[in-house]
Amino acid sequence: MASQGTGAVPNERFRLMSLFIPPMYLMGFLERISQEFGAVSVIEPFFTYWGEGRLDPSHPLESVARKSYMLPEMRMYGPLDSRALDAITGCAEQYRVDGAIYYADVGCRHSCATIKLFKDTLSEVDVPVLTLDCDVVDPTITSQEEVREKLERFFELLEDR
Amino acid sequence: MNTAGIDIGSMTTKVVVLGDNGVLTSVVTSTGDDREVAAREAFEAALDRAGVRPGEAVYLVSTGVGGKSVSISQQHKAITTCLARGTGYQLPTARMVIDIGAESCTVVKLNSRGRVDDWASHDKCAAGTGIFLQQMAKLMQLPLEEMSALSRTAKGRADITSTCAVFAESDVISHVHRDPPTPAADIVAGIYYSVVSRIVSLCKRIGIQKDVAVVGGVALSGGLVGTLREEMGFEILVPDSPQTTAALGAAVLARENVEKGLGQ
Repeated sequence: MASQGTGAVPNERFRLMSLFIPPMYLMGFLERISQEFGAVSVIEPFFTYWGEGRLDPSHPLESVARKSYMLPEMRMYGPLDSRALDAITGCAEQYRVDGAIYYADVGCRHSCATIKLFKDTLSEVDVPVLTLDCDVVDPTITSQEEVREKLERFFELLEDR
Repeated sequence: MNTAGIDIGSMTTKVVVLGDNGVLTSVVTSTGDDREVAAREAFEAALDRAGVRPGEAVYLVSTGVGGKSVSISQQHKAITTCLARGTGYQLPTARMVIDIGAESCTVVKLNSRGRVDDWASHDKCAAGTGIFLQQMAKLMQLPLEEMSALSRTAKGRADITSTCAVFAESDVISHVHRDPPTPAADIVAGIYYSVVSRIVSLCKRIGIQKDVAVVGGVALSGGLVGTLREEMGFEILVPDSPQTTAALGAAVLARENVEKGLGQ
């Protein structure tokens, strides 16, 4: 699709960074929202981004281990320094994102502790962040209507800047 | 073309009509059970008061919790966008606006162009909202206006939780029935502090940025605004008509649309 210059949605209006994991029970809904508003998640910098490090076929196990340690998500388990934060801002610039959505899993204190830090970091590259309180699998934490309302507000923010 | 904005809240419906030289009129009515009916009646009353002739074109933008469900508007916009435009119109130096409505509280941070930079809201509990204050007034058997005056005579402040409206009600009942009872003024001061501490923590989530304005129906309570001023530690701006700020913002957005050629 990319080679043909075709986007994931017919009318791409907003390029988004996803931070952490969207609620699984909302995947179909988020897909419909994506089509409706022309909003595409173009990068997730923790679990899916292939950051630093290269695989060495002559030392496969060692290089996979080293590579895994270099995943930005793994950086969060050590000192959360510029190596992890630079990956976020780097991705934001590389993928030309307009905004970021932080899926704040209310059960994960570890990741939620980074909301302010990531927000401040992304504001340095002028990327606004929407924080969506949710649970990856429990639909009682946040409703589809609430998510829709917040996303609509966020898209208006991006459009109006 | 005249433009108008309508903010349909859970308790009240607000309409602002903008003419070429500014606000022509504003109307505040009760929303009631049927939002469509409330919106039509408020809109017609506003047009009548503004002297807009029947059949004359008016571009209308709606907002608020009921804004999406009414058929009379040409466009619906988010409350955050409308608050930004309305505050920019009323108080151009404001960089943060706190909207305390009947059932929710929204804080919007504005950039130097008066656009939304960030926002935070809480709408999962009545704590920190107008309904909470109304409920507390009922419990204290005091009109809201009297509560405001009474709070200024307080010599202390009763401890009342800010995390849950139901628990806060239990706290107030305990203070009333204590032997000797906590003075009513101190209880009211505690009620205001409960609301304000919730609002201040919401502001801190996105970073407090001066000038700070407070709008919404609760901004009419001098006692609450005074408590907010004390907690923030600086002056808080209140526009002349704080209830209609979001409706005014919707009218400003309607004006922008007309200037772009929409609605012709």
